[in-house]
Amino acid sequence: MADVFIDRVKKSYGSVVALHDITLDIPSGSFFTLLGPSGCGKTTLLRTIAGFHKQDQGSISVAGEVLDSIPVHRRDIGMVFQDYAIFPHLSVRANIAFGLRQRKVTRADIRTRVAEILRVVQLEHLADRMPHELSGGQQQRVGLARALVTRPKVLLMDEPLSNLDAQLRIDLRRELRSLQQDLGITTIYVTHDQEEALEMSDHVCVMYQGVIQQAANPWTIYHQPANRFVASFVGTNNFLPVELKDDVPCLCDALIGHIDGLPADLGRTQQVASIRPEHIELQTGTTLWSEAQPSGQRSDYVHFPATVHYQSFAGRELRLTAGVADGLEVQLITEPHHEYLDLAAQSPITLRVRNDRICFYEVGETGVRL
Amino acid sequence: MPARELRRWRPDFWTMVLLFTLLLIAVLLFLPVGKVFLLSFSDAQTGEFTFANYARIFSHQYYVKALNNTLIVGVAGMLGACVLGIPLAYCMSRYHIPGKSLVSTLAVLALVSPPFIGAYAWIMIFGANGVITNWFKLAGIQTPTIYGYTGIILVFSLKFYPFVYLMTESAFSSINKSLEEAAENLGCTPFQRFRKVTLPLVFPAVSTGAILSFVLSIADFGTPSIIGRKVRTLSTVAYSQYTSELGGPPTLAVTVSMLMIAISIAALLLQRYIISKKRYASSLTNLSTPVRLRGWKAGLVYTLCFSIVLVSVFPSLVVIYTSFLETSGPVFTGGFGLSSYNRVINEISRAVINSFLLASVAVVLIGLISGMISYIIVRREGKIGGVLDTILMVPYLVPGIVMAIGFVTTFNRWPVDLVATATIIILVVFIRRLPYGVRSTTASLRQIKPSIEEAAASLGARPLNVFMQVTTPLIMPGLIAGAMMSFITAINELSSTLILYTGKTVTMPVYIYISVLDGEFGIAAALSTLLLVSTGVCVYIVFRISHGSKSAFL
Ligand SMILES: Nc1ncnc2c1ncn2[C@@H]1O[C@H](COP(=O)(O)OP(=O)(O)OP(=O)(O)O)[C@@H](O)[C@H]1O
Ligand SMILES: [Mg+2]
Repeated sequence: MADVFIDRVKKSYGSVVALHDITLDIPSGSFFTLLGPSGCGKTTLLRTIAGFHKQDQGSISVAGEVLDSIPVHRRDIGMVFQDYAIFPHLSVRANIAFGLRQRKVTRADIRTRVAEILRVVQLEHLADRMPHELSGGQQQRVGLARALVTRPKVLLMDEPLSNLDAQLRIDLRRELRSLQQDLGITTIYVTHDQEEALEMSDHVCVMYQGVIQQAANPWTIYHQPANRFVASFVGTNNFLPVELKDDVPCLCDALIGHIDGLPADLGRTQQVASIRPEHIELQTGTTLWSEAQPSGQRSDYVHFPATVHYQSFAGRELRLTAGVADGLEVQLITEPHHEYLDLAAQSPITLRVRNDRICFYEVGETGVRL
Repeated sequence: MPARELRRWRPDFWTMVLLFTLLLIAVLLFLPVGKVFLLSFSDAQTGEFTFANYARIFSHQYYVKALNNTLIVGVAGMLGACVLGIPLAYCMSRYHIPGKSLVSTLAVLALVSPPFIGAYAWIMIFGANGVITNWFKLAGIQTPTIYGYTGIILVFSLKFYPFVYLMTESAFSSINKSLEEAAENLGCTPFQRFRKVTLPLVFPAVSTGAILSFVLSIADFGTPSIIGRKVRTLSTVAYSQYTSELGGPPTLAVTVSMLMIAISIAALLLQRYIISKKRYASSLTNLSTPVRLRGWKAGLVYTLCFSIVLVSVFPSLVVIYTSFLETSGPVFTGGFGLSSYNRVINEISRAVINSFLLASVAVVLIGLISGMISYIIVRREGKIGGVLDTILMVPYLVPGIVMAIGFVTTFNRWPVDLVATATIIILVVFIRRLPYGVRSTTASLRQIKPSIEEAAASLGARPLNVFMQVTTPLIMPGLIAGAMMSFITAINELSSTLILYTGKTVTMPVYIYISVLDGEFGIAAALSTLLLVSTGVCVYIVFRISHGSKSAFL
């Protein structure tokens, strides 16, 4: 097993800077996910680690060994491709044996190791098929088995599930994760599916425009995003502009109550606040919470009078869009109570959010959290 | 590069292949062509720099006439190819024609059979002692002569129209039907519509086919030499100049050669320029489906298509027919028999063996190397792939005669003396036909996702192993198709071999040429039939491999 250390790596294609000073320390045996929107440089980073192209600057080491001048075929890094990249002229068995043959493993060993990995990925019954006789999911298993059978130091996967249908993706997520844990192999996984990233990973690294925005465990990424980009990219978030009224920061004109525990320098820079949809509570009518709150006394909550704009019932939850002030809308998710479902458009409602659920960021796409 | 880095620089496998390829091209292409270029500027006696060779050529009626003739037959051959090729392409793409694949197969066969066979077959029919000429003579009618311009242009038109046809047909079928319908709505007559809308859209394809016909027409040696009689072109002049200058440096022959190269390059640049001016974005939506014709129109269209292709393969049929006629010496005695084949086997089996041997060796070399060159063209990052692709156009532009003269004037003394060897014939054929192999494998390789090769590398396969175990099996169809195409052109090669051959290395095309000049039509026919049959077998293999796609032949 091996840790991966990426040290100030830069890579550009002509004038396009694809990787901008990437530094990452990936612990041995962990499942590490690169998450980010299309074009942010995930594939570029993965391919640089694999050795398919060389970085312009910086260095990459695996288990303390610097890889920079080592060609692909001697890096001992396995790769699973988005388009499977199964050798079309070889049977499943021969595909899987390919790496072992390159390593001059004896025939007997090849036979036992291929059989073993076939069992692990549950492809024993298809061993002698040709690739074109396999489904997408089966091909991806072959790709995985082929990469794992050589017991590489590191396993790289570039959106391995993105060409599969929804249910299969979810099944394979679990399978991949538990297989990775069983083998304890350091895995770097690329996806732009945040749910996949949060569900499978030990660590998630959010990238944007060739820059690492945040690398942390999934809980931190979700609940303590380092900046506004992470907050908006991972999960859904409502962003509300923060204005100063008599030196008191307000989320909007309609806000009732105080925002507690604000960062000290709040008010000096322009800011936005973020609230997750599931953190907004909903009450029909206009009065309940605000009347219940004795005036002058500090509350743990802030309140918004709002009107219903649009609601959609998604089975286990109700998604609702509400107007809170002129032009401003917030999304919220709540349990689908009957009384909520019956709300007509423009009905008045009241929303409340716990003070400490609100995050503040400097304005700008990647403004830092305060 | 600082010395320290230089020491660290260890080329990887593909860099070495690239360097080897560049070396190969430098030695086998640039060196001979450069030598021709330099020789054309040097004095035959003193070797000093001079423009005298060019001055001499442009002031002598003999050469100027040849230049004119070359341009005349080149342009006329090209126009003839268009006149036959464009209507055929139009009918084949727009109308439902029974036996369509037969028509295109015949066109391909006409394309790949050697042109000199066409030349002498027409002589057997319309020549001074030709079958039809004699019929008319019996009736007391004087037929117009086939020799000279008429014959050359006839042969070129019938030989090169398939280029125009094959290129244009796909262009016609991919035209958006709405565009033509719009023109019709706007009140165009069908002919106006064709001229103003359809033709401009297929122009790039037509012009590519036409330029190809032109370049091959001016480079052709066998046709003008067999059927031209007094009409001499640059290639026949270069050849006779070369044979008369033997002993000294062939300065005039190479100067004529340079002229031929210059014309080819000018034609190519002209075509590039015209195309760049007229670029239309074409969308592949709303394609027209072939129309089923009825009545006299159908008869007209079918007759047109079939007569074009049948007339173009007619010479081959005549040749095959005559090869089975009984002969006594050069005279046909009437009746059928195998005496021509007997003579081939008894007297000139060497030519047959040589042909197959030399072509096979050249093609094996091409097969071995074209895959690697394609790999560099397609896969290597940076500009080198494009540069290599462009460089490989050069052999198309250098006529066989010129390449051969370049080789004998370059590799004629220590350390590399190849004069009168089989090697020199193989190398000339190799470099001339390499582009066929490379083009075919390049097309195959572009279909293969690079991730498959990357997967192999990440599994620990060395670059050579990736290439041999993954790339090569996957591009095998392209490799075989390319090899077959190279083989067809290699075994039918006349012009360069004629300069390079000796009694030991004589080949079938050379022997056919000599026999025709000697009036030994029986032997010529038997040898030509052998060539046609092996060509046909190769065509069949290519068709099988490429699943009936005709693009492999372009
Ligand atoms: N071969 C290349 N030549 C030029 N630019 C490239 C090349 N490959 C990638 N890029 C550019 O580099 C940037 C990063 O690309 P990369 O493929 O790493 O993105 P990605 O995060 O994997 O995106 P996706 O999720 O769409 O796969 C993009 O702006 C892309 O346009
Ligand atoms: Mg990608």
